[in-house]
Amino acid sequence: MMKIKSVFTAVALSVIACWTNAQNAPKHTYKPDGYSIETIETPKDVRFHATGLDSTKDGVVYIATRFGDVWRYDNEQWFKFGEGLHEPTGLLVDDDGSILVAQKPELTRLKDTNNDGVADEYEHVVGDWDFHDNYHEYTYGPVKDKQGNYYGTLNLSHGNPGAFSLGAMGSAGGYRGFAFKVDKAGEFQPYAWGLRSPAGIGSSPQGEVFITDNQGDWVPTSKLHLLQEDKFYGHPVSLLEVEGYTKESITNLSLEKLASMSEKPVVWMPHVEVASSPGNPEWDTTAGKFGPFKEQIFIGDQTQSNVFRVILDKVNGVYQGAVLNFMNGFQSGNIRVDFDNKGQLWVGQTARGWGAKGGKPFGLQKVVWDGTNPFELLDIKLTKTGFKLKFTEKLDASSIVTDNFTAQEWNYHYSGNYGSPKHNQQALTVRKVSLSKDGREVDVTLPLTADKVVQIDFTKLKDIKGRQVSVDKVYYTLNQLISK
Amino acid sequence: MVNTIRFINSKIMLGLVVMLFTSSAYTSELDDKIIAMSQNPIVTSQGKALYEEVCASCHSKDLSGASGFNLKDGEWIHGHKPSTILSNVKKGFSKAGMPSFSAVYTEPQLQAIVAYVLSKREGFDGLTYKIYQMANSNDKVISDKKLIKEGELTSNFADFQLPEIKDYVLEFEGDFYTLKDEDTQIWIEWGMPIDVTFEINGKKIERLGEGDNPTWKLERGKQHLKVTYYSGKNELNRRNWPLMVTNDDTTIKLFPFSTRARQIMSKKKVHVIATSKTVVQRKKTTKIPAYSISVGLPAKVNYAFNTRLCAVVGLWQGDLLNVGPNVGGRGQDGSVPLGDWVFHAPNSIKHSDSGKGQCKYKGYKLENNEPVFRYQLDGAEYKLSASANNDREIQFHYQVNQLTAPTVAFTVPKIDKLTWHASSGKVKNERVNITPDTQGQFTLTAQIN
Repeated sequence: MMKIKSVFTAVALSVIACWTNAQNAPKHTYKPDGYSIETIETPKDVRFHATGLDSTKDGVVYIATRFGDVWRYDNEQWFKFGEGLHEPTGLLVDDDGSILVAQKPELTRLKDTNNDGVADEYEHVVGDWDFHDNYHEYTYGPVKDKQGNYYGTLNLSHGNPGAFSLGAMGSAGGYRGFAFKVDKAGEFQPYAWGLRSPAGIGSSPQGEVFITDNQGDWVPTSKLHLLQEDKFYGHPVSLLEVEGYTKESITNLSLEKLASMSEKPVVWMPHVEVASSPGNPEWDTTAGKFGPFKEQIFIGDQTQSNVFRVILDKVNGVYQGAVLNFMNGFQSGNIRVDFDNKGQLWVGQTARGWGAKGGKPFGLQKVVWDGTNPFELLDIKLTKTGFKLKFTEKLDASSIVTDNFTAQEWNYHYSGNYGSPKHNQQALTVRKVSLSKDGREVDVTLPLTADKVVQIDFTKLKDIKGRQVSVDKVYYTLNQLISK
Repeated sequence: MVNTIRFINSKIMLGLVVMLFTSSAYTSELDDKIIAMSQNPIVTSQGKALYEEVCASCHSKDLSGASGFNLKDGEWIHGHKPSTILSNVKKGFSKAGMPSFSAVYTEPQLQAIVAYVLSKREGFDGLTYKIYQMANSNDKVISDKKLIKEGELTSNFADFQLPEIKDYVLEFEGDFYTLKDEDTQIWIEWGMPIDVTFEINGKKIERLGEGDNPTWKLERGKQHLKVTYYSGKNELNRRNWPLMVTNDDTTIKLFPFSTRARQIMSKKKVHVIATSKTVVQRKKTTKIPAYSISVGLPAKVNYAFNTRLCAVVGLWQGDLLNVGPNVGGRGQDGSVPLGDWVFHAPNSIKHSDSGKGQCKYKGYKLENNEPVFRYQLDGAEYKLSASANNDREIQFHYQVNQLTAPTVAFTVPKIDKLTWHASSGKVKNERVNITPDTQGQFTLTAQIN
């Protein structure tokens, strides 16, 4: 078995050899018909790096900034609700109206006890993890499940001399690289581990918690996971705080062993093409106010300044699914997204420290829908012979020919190297396409192999109005085939 | 005060040039006198007090500039001679909002202010440069024949973008000022291979640090410094070096050495100051441990409460914090207190017997805008807040419930400039035993002498 240390050189060489599989972002501006971006004017002379974002049932928006402020946006007016926090990167409007903020050292509940519109109580909720004053030790969250438990994630450190590291990121202990759970009584539980830079956490309408992690060492490309208790998500350094492991035993774990221990992501996010630094997953629970993408997941990307969608598919009782771009051309780095009560998708932004395609250092925008039915891929589901693609509009039957579909597959190499190029990349022959009776669904027949990402391109498709899609690629993470 | 001393105005500049050329032996004598005064701690102490009274509001207490220019660096647009600076302080620049101070202070007072400003000098003075054309990237032999350009740099910052050729050696030379009472070093903001040597007073100094993050230790105060940079195989777009001067362990970036560093550091100045009400800031901060919450009182005295130790781990006079290092870029560096430390960790105000049990921080509540910290220790519940009427005295107000013993024991820093008083108890050496009143309240007062 190859040990971690000995495998580095071989992997580095293979990276150089394979890097020709270019990973490029779409060059065009993509935007579904009927959707537009509106920019919110942020408070004057305020460093408004919006890294915590949530809204109330009444549509009041709360923002936590990296500077440490909490702002309330109500009737197009800004009010400063709180201040002095340590680089928050998450905010939740709780059921009782109090504001939970994830700051680096702790989870804090901000309360306005005298009803003057400003927080006067900063209640310590939990802080059982260790923060070593390292700049990369962010706390993300919290989100809440149906039982009232809170969840968050803890970033590894970078450049911390006292940390245990097997690549770029490290842990000096205190549950760095863990996800945590806090029950209603306030008890902290290290819940799962193996995370690197898990900058996004979200709770589904069913109360399941999903997390994103950023590409880097031990993360071949950015990804989305279902968070489950006592599971390992791939970055080895946090194993140091798991019973039975030592620095030596972790260092001697083979790549094969580590890979077999790791949870498979629900979706891989092709680097640069879709995401480089994904934020939180947000479910479209707007019941149609945001258009046809009901119950789907929307995620912003800090580097690419875009928003992309995740379509879940439960195969053999396990989540996998697809990613595809939604909109690009935002002004800054999209780290937080939230649907408000009007069905608007708010986008909190920062580009400080890590650049973003959008040129502005920070900001706040929202995506609004004018009611126009767009022509885009609505859904994708695995079949026994390929995929069923459902579109938002009736298709022009004449465009449903195999030549108008292309496909390819690849996978990634898991290692301590910083990201992975595409491996085993090859074109797939689209053998057959057929249109459903209602004119909206296309069955695509192609060869299927498990543990691959399958990309399907459908640029030349047209709808009955003659429109072409703005996003012409979908990437399906094919962890497993349908077994029965 | 001097916010237009370096205000670029051609008419003023012309007037100054004329004035400088017509200056007599008197100015030379005056220059020498003020320079001598700048070496005299008694005079600079007087100058400091006057500076902080009127000048600091525009130029900041640490002279790093605010609405007015930085007065510590080497860039003096209206002339750097002490007599010129004194003259400009007297006359002021009314169009830029700087009044004349000739009628406000006496001549000795004004000279003391200028002497104080000069005593705080940082960076190069009289900086010159030379560019040598080298045969190729491996050529390291410097000779006069290869010298293609030389001159002065009035900004007094090392400008690594001067050469417009591929293979060169770039030399900078001049007097250099750094802190007098603390070790400092030259450091590069980001790690890259760099072939550079530094000579202090004609002697080459050792390259320290690791790999691509080298440091070079400076002497204290004034020295003559020569820098020799070999472009070698550095990529053309990776030669604009962000060199800066840091404290001894590089945790505080003190001032820029090069033009690139100046640009970077200008973005890392974000002052958070308590003016009319108390301000709470939770940031990574130099000299105090993680989990500290800094509190700035309008009386210009500040403290830091640590939520893991349930202790006051820092006390300083002046303004609260420059949070710029912590909110610029990725925020790797700690915020810097804008004043003078009275004490900082490991010195602290802490429960003497806190080893018995771990404290549990509960949060803080703003009561009349003052944070009241809450924590549990050994079964008792404590509240802590602070108040001050001036920067020479701060009172720490405690309240305890469910106390199991009649007294509470604290350990306080034993420092010459501090005198401790307890509301009902004795302070002996570093230990204080206090008996709370019937409401469970007691006060610890720190007098700063």
